[in-house]
Amino acid sequence: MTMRQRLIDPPAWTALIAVVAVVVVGLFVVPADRLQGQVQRIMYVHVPSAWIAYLAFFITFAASVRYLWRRDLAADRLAASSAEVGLVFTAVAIVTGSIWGKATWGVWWDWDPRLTTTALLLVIYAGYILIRGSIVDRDRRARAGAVIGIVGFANVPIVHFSVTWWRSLHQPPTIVRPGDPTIDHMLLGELLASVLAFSLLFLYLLNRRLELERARDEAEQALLMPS
Amino acid sequence: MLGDVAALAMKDVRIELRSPASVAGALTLGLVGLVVTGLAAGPDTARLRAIAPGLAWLSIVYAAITVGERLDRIDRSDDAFAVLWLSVRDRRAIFAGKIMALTLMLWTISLALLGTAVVLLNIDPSPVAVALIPLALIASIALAAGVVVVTSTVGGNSQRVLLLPVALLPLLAPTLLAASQATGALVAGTVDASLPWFGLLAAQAALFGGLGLLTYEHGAALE
Repeated sequence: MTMRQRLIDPPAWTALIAVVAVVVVGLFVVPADRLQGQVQRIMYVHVPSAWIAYLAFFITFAASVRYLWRRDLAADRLAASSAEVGLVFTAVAIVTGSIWGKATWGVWWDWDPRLTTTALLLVIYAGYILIRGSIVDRDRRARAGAVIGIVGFANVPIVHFSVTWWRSLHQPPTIVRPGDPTIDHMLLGELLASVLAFSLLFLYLLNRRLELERARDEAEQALLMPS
Repeated sequence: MLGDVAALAMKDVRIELRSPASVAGALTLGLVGLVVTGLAAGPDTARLRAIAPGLAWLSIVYAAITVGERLDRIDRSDDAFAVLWLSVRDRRAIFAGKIMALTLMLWTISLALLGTAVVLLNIDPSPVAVALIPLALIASIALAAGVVVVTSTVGGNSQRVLLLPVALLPLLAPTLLAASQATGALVAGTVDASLPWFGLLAAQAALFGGLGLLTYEHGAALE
């Protein structure tokens, strides 16, 4: 891709404009939460990041299953790329959650089950990337990655439902719960728009990461070809 | 398949009985951990009692990684794994056999370490503490299944000493949490409080075991 193509890359601009728009609306248009005040606005980054982390690791899981089933290297590339982008969003979710926690609970970190399990998720996928990076053989790297990707995803439901399984300090679900959401409709609209905008950003980053993975495979193939 | 599983498990148990480096080493490491933590945390017995279940189970998790890694390494030396791989009718038997052997070893290690912690910390266990025996068994199955799944994919790697704990400790964290909490509850005599943790351990064992059976043949395939 040339510099000119990069500058007029429509998916990049779409994602960028969407994210900037929801950030501006989240900071200056929608009112602050009546109880939590201004700090609640960080939820427009924290919640989408957490949602995308779940989505990314699910994609890694599904692509890993497909790789083991079909031996499809494209699926392996998708699994690896999604895990890496998901790891970034998990880190963003933890950092923004920590900032919110300091303002609300008075501490940067609390050994709350959901926080702790999200941190575990971060290290599981950091391990996934580390393991993939340490294996030179292409097929072996894909197989090891697929197994860890499948087993690691088994932890994701524990993250999501831990807030229900264990009594915790963390705010209980406000949207995905029985009955009407407890959040104000305007704030809910902004939150859903943020989720959509960050999803576009995720798709763009995933696509770029996939291009890198494809290029890496081509380079490895070229090195293996007899000159 | 059951005959293959039993034979493969006995192979690993026999290796361990002939040169008991893994279990003896893991037990020694666990004892060192208990004693050194006692010194580092100070002479406050109440505090030591509070952290003892977690400390004991953390030692057992490390033991699981160490013993599992050694079993895998022995199999991979001198192309023994290739012979094993080609000689069984159903390769899942290798996975199940490894879990069975590792469970037996971890059960031994966990009961010995938990017993030692009770003595060292002057804990007066409640009568229901006898339930630690089945608890240690279920936790050993969960640990063994998780360790075998991961060592089969990473075991042949030159950086496995670093990669195995990095990959396994977070995956086994729910097992560690459940085993520690259930142990604390049983020693205190509160059976009801331990029951949910028994359930979580059983779920972890089923999850790792089930996923392992489905993925072992792919993850552990020959180069």
